[in-house]
Amino acid sequence: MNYFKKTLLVMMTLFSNANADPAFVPVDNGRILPDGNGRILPEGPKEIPNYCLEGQPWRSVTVQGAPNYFYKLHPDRDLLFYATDNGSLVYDLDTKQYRPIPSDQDVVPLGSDLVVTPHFQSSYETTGLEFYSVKEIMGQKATFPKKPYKSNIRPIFIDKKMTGMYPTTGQIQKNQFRVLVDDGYLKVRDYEVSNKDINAIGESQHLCKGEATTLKMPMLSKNGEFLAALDIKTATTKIFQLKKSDSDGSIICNLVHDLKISVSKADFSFDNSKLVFHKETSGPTEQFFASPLMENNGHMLGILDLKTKNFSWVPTGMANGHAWYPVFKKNGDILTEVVTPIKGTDSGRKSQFAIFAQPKSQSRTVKSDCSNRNDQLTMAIGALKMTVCKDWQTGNTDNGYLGRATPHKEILLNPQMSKNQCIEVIKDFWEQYKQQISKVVSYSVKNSGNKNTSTNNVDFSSTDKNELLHLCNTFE
Amino acid sequence: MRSFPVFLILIFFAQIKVYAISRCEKEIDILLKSWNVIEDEVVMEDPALKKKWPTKVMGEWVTLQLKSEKIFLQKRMKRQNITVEFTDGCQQHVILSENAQVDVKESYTDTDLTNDIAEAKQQGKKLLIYLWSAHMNLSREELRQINDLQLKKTRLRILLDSNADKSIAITFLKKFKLASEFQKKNASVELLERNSSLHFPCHFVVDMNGKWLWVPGYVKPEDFKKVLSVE
Repeated sequence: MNYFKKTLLVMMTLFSNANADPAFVPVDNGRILPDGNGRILPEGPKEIPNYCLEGQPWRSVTVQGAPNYFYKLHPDRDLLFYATDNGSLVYDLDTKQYRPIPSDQDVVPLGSDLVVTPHFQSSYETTGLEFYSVKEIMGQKATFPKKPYKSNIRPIFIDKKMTGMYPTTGQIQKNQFRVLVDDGYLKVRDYEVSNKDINAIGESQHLCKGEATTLKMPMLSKNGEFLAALDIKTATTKIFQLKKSDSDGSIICNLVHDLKISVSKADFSFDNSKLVFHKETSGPTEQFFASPLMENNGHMLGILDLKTKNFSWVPTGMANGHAWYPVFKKNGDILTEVVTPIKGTDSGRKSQFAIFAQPKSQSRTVKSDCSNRNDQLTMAIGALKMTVCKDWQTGNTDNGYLGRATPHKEILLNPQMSKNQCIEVIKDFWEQYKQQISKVVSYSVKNSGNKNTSTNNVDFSSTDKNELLHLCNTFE
Repeated sequence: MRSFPVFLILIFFAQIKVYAISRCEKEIDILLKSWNVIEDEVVMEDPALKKKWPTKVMGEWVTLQLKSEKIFLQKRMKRQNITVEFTDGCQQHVILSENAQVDVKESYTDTDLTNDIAEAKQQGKKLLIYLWSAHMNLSREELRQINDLQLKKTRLRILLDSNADKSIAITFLKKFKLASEFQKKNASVELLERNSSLHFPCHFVVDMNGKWLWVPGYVKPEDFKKVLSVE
C-alpha cells in the first residue's frame, strides 16, 4: 500500500462519522494500527475488511502449559493469569512471554497493581490469601519456565483469616478492593491498599443472607456493586445490586434482573452495561451458526444488554463450541478460552485464547436441510466470508484455506455481517472463489442429514453475483 | 418522562416476539403432547426465541424455536431428528434428518442413566451424579472429598468431563489412589441437555419421584444435606 493510500485511510477513519462503517481499518507497515477501539491487530495482509471482525475471532493465541478451564485477565493490560497442574502462569499476549507465579490455584487481579491467590498448605485446607505485586511478577525473567513452574517472589501480604476465595474481585473505590468467598455461605472481605500497606477493612461480611447457599458461580462486577449468580432454586442466573445493611453490616442483595436462563460464570463490562457468558447449547444451533453441521451440545457466547435486557449471541465459529468463561476487555472486545480436544484421542487438548469484537449485526439462519435456494446462497455468503477472513487471520496470501484444506465438517459458515459488508465481500471476492464455495456448500448439505439427494450437489459456478447481492438486501 | 416513550417501544417489541413464538399454540400443544414432553420442566434457552422440554424417554428432548419470524418445533432422538416448520397459516412442513453417530464406547450413556435411576429407586435411594473435570481444581478436590464420604441413602455415580484430557485424569486418580472407574466420561445426552458441561464440578440429584436438581459449582460435603438434599 502506498503512502498516499495509507494516509487517506487514516484520514478517512479519523474524520468519518462514528456510526459509519469504514470498509477498512488503517494499516501501517504490515501491522495494523489501533482501529479506534484500542485494538492492536496482529500482522497479516495489509488490509483487513471490517466484516472479519464480526462474529469470529480477530485474534487467537495458543498458550502453553495445559491451562485449566478458568483464567483471569488483567484490567488494563493483556495479561492472562491461569493455573496449570505444574503451577500458575501469567502470559503476556503482546510480548508472548510467560512468567511464573508461586501458586497452583487461580490467580486473580485485584486492581491493576496486585493479584491474589489462595494458599493451600496440604490436602484441601487453605491457610490464607496471598497478595502479590504485578510489578514483581512481571519483573521476573521471562522465559517459558521449566516444570514445575517455580518462582522466588514472595507475597507482599497474607491474610491468614481468609480460607480461600472465589475467583472474583471488585474495585469499590480508588484504593479499596472487594474479594468474594464461597465457603458454603457467600461472604465478601474488603481491603484498603496504600503505597505501603494492605489492610482488611473490618471482618468478612455475609452476602445475600437467606440466598447465600443457593447462589452458585457468583461473580462481582468490576466495581464490586453488582453480583451475577445462578440460583439453583430456579435454575436461572440472576443479577443483584449489593448494599450494606444498616442493622448488622452484612451485604444485602437486591434482585435487579432474572435472566430466565442459566449461564456460566458471567463477566460484567467495565461500565456495568453488559454481561457476557458462555452458555451450553443443545439441539438445533442454526440460530447461531449457519451450518447444519454444528455438532450438538457446545458452548456459545452470549451478551446481555443490561439496559434493554436483550440477548445477542456470538457465533464462535468453532465446531462443538469449546469456548469457556468469556470476559470483557476495557475496549469492549470479548476474550474467551477455547479448549479443543485432540481428535481421535481421549488425551491431549489444545488451549487457545480468542478475542472477538462485539457483534453489530444479527447472525443469519438456514434451515437444517438446506433444500431452499436462499439457504444455500446464505451458506455461500458465509463460506465466502470465512474464506476471505481466514486468509487474513492466518496471514496467508495464497489461495485461501479452502484451497489448502479439504472442506470438512468443522468449517462453520458464518454469514453474520451487515448489508453493506455483504455487498462488499461479494463484489470483491465472489468471482474468485465461487467454484471452491460450491464444494464447501455441497459438502455441508451432503452431510446435513438431508435425505433429498437432488439438493446435495450445489454448483455456484454459473451463479451471478447479482443473485447474491439481492440476498444482501435482506441483511440488517 | 423523556424515557417513557422509549420504554413503551421496548415493551411493544418484546410483545411482538412473545406473540410470534406463541402463534399456532393449539397445533404446537397437540405435537408436544404426542411427543410426550414433560411440560412443567420447560427450560428457557433464550426467553424470546427458544425453549425446550425433556420427554419421558431419557435423552430425547423437544425444542421450540423462533427463527426469522418462523416457528420450528424439533424432537431430537438418538438416530434422527424430526423438525416441524409452522407456516403463517400454521400448516406443518415436516423435515427428517439423521444424526451422526458418535462413538460412546466406554462412556456413560442414557441407557446407563436409565438403569442408575431405576436401581436407585429400587434401593429406596436418591441418585447423586457428580461430574468432575481434570482441569478444574475445585472439582478435583471435591472428588477426593466425596470419595471419603459414606453415603447410605444415596446412590453415587461419578463421571468425568467428556472433553477432559484422560491422561491428566488418570494421573490424578493414581496419585490419590482413587478408583479408575472415575475416569468414565459422560456421553449421556440427557445430562448434556441438563447443562452438565456448563461448569465443573456439577451435581445432579434425581429423587425417587424422578425430580431433578442441578447444582453446578463446588459444594462442601458438610453442606450436601443443605444444598443437595442428600443424606
